[in-house]
Amino acid sequence: MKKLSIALVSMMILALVLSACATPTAAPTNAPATVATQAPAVAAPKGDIVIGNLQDQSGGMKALSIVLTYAAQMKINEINAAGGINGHQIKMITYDTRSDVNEAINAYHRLVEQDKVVAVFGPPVSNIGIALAPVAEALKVPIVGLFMDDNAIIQPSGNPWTYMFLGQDSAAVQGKTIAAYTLNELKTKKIAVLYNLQNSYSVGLANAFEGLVIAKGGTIVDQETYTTTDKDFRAQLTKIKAANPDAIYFPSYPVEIPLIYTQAFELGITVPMIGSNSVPPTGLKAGTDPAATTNTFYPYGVNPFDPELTTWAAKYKAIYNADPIAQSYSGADAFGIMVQAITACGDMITSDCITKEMNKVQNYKGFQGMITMSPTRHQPDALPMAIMSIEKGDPKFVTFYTPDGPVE
Amino acid sequence: MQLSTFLQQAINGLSLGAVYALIAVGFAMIYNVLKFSNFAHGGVLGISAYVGFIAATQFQMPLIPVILIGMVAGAITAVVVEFVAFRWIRLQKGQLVYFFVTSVTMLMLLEQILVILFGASFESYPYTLIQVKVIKFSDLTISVTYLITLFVTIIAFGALIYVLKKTKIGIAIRAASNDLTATSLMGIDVNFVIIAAFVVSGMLGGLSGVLYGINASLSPQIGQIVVKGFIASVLGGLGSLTGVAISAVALGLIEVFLISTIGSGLSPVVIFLIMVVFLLVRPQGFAGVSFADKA
Repeated sequence: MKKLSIALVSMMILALVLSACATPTAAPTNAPATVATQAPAVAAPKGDIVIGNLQDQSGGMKALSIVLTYAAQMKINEINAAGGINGHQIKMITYDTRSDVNEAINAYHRLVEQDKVVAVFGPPVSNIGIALAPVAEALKVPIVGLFMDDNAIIQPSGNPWTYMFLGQDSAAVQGKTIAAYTLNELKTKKIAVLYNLQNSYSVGLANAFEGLVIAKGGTIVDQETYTTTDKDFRAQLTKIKAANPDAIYFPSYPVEIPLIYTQAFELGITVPMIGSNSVPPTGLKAGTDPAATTNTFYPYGVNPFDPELTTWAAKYKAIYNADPIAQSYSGADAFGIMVQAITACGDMITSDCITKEMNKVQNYKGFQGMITMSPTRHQPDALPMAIMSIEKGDPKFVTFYTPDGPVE
Repeated sequence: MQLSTFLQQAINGLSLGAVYALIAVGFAMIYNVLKFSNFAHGGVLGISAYVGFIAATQFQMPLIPVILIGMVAGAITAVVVEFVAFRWIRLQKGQLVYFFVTSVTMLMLLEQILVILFGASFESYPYTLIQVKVIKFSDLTISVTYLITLFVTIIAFGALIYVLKKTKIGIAIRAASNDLTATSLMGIDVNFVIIAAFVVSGMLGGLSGVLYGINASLSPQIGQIVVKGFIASVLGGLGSLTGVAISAVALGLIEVFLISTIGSGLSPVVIFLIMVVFLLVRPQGFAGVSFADKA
């Protein structure tokens, strides 16, 4: 009997492992053991300028990640058609991270050590950004991406990771921006928060949001969490409903957003649902009843209805047969500032030079606004964010906002 | 906790438990006959969920045909799995652990087939598949999707009991679940009985796949929900379908109340601890009669 019990316990452990299979690998807190102790010498390219690209092309974040490749490729085509950078054509080597931290680390090693890239375009996945930061510190090839959690660009000491650069507002800025909007414009005081405790993006946004709400005199009446594999949020939402909040903030990933909208709606929750910049590409899919997304607000990197964006958007759609999303624009900006840094290196295009020039990027005219890279925070000085709502399933621009209030 | 909140959480738990019950009964069905835990049932569930999704999106079929197509897909997939993965081991009189390992491998294989066909991203059934979303009683709300799941679970379970107790093939399956060798010696075509068991299990898998796909969302890993069926089966006793169904509903209730009290991070830990305690103290589950040769 004992043997059988042991066998069954073993099976249960296997079941546990199985249940964890769908969970993206958590970001390691320290540099992995495989990090090289000696940085490879990355020489100036003699022919093409080779840039690495780490994006999710087949995993759970594909929808948000693959658009960065699209935006980068459009920029590369434009530059190469115009003669390249200082006569050098740009060549991009893309590896699929599948939203997996270890895949991303291995791919970064391959890009640096085998493909000899001078810079890497990174994914919009914070867990991966956090994991890559210490590896990049050892391999000394800069990564410019959309990993929003501040931990991907700022070390625990407060200094920036030398080779990590963010091309959009960080989670801290985005969380504070939407918190300020929720308090000031929606006239709310009591707010509930629902976030994924296994996801750096979600945790980073929730912390920033809560910090500003409390600092401005608001109250977090309930804080509920879920895990990456969860599909049923009714238990958390029922508890939140009982706390009687004025609004609910849920900084979630695309796979969770339609479910949270739908289940909150089914539970009769009518207070404003405040999302993150992951809402648009999925919150409006055919799987979500438009009735469930009324009274919804979320921050967005750009106003997608801005006439200044329409030319680029039309060109993008002509190539990829899809409308650009927030990450398309932010990705184009992130890639653009990396190109500006490469261009500034003249004929000595090395990883070191690109890193130094990234710190000096100023007044780059991007889709998100004029971008100036902070050399102490390795992210743009706070850019205004577009606040969007959803009406009858379609996005609608409301206003531009910063943590300090509305802007023109 | 206020009474209305408590009642709402109970409804949430029962709803979730109904989904688990369908999965668990299909899972336990194969255990009853072949005496091994069939994790490939998760793969059957996943394939069926995607077939139903295609029927709903590409062919704009309404709910009932989508469910029926999912069940047919489940039955076909289960039979193919039996033929490809388990039959040879059975004919070779392989050890139970081979069945178990093969079933886990088949789950992963079917997942990878879904990744190749649909990518690793997620999909959603069209929200128009079920028009009415919610029924309200005062402060309480019941999701119609879950209500349908509960209703279908009861119907399916009733039909299963009827088939097992009143039909020849059902009686043959029950006989096989008692002693496969003796059943064979009685002149019953054991291969046919086993295929019938896989068909029934596959239909339940297809049903749960479509309903869970509608309630949640679709991803190639959707079949890993079979772990909940496994837990419910162990708690209920793998030899008793009624015990499995009851424990699945109880699991849904326990899960919801744990999440609302200790949070979603600790909830799985407590559930697995309960399972460990059950395995050590009462390995036959609360309704099972035999624990021998579980694998």
